[in-house]
Amino acid sequence: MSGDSVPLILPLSRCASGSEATALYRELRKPLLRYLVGLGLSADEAQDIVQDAFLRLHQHLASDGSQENIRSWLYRVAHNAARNRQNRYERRFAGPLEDGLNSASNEATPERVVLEKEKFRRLREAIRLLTGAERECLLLRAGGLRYREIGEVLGLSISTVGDTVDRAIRKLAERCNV
Amino acid sequence: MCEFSGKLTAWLDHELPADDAAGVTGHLELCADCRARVEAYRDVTNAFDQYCDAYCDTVMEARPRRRPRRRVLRFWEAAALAAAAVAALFLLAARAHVQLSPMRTPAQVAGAPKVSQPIETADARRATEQPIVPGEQTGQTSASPQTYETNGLPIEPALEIAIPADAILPPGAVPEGVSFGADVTIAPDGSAQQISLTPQLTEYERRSSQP
Repeated sequence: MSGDSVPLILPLSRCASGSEATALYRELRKPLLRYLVGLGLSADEAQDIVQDAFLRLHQHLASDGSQENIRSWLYRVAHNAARNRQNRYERRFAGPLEDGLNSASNEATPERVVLEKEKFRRLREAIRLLTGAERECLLLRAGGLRYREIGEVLGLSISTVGDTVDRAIRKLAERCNV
Repeated sequence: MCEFSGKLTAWLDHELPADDAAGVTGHLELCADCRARVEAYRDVTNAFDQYCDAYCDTVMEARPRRRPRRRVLRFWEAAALAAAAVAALFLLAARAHVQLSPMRTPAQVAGAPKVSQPIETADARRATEQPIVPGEQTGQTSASPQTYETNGLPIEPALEIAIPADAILPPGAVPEGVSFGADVTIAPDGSAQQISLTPQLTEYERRSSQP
């Protein structure tokens, strides 16, 4: 999980290259989409924000902006854009990460499908008990961000992120009993 | 609950300083409870990951697809559409009043929308005509259009609407010279009993009749 990931710090020479920027887009597009959808945005809104975030990244790099911590920079831009939209359309985002979902793959056996649905049902119930900050921390952690990067995105200290993640994981484990 | 329980998640995420991490690793070899907690945290972390993936896939797959491009109607589809439009117009007209007249050719029908001559109302007829004798009714009705009162409502001037095929159908959907004749049978209660549409080659006949 997040422990296996490596912080994304790109040197200036790499980011200046168009092919590297494309690679960056390929690497981070899906995790960003997953984070935004997990916050409760629609697919189109998430796509818009991701596109806008990469456009701003391009402008940021073109204007000799900082090359370090690109991943947390991108997440922060996307997070703020999502927050703005959520403030604007608050009623629409009543229950992020709580809707029904297609859990099992096509190759799964019926028993496995049932077990997976039950697991997700319990997990969904547990996610409802999380606070907004706990949910955001877990989503960013699931995206492979380190505690330092999560803190940069959410404006929290590393120790606060650690406590929040620990509290959230305990809640889920107690409720889910997986 | 032991003193290391608050560091298990951070240990799992490789977020602890080296010294603290080594301490937790040593403790886990001795403490079965903490080992079980770490396993539970690892499982719930993986489950949350899978849940996020599945949720994201569900949301992305559920997004509305683009509208299909408009396609040109085939001839028989256009004809069916025209038939439905004509039938709807006839039904609307029949609800208010009914005027039965001999079927006209499509060439007479085609052209700009027009309003027919007002038909005489029942009150006007009573004022100007002699009382109708049952035996004499047949000869009179064959010369002039028949009129009926519907549901006791006053009869108003009939509105005849002729719609050229080009106004309903896309250009080129109907071959030149083809139009439709509609034959509507109206029941005494004002409802449509039968509607039949007949495609006719009016222009072709006209041209072929010319020298």
